[in-house]
Amino acid sequence: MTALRSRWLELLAIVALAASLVRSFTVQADVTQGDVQRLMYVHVPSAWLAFLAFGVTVFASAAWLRTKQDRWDRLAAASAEVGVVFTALAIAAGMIWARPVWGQFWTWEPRLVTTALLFFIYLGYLSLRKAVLDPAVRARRAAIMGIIAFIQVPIVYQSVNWWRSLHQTSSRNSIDTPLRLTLWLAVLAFTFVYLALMRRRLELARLEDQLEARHADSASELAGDGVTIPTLDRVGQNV
Amino acid sequence: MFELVAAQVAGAWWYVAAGYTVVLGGMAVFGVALALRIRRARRRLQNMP
Repeated sequence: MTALRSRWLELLAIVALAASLVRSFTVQADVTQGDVQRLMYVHVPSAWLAFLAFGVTVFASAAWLRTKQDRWDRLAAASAEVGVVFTALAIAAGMIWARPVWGQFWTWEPRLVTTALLFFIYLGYLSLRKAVLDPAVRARRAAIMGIIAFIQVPIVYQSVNWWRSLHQTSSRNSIDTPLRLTLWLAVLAFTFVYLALMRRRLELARLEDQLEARHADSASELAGDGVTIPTLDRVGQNV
Repeated sequence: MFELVAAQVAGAWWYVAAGYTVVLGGMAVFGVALALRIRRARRRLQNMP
């Protein structure tokens, strides 16, 4: 019973995802594209969830800069990681959809290129977090990058309007109601999946922070008070 | 144009199956990887002096 109570979000995500799947495969097919259009119900929600995840990262980054509370840094990191996964899934599903419709998996058109850039920018964000050992320095640098990186999100979103090319513009208001409802159900189901993954990723972040704190404690016990870690500021003072 | 696309996507169930497998499978793999990382972190915490 306790396990069930702690996993209610995962269960909700699975149920919503199952309902979305059933609906995706039973709703009428698109007149032009036929069944292959059903890929929209996994491609679009993945992309939307990536945007949501990066939106949470920019919000949490700003909150960290304002409050300096660790929980905001953990939230920013967790959401960025989940966002990178959803971006990769959106790109993969888009490539599979592009093959039968455009005749090729990849083409250097604006939406695809800007989305690929978004993916690599946030991979860079995650790399930055791995590269800096000092938690305070890491949190500050990551928060600044988390805010700057978000500039790419509206560029990706508007790319289909600014540079008209192969990728269609937003179709959420132009498609028939049954298809639109199916799309919104899929977006809702993916949102529950995002929340369930975030819950676990935050749990991992808390454990990693505890591990880091324990390591720092044991390191200071070994070194004692006689050893001071050199910093660039002190080097400057000694000259 | 529309006829061309319709002819191209006829019987494209293979792509639909591949797309759903990649996306749903990707989410599942990430979820399992998270669970394994949590378990490893817990074990490391317990083993620390």
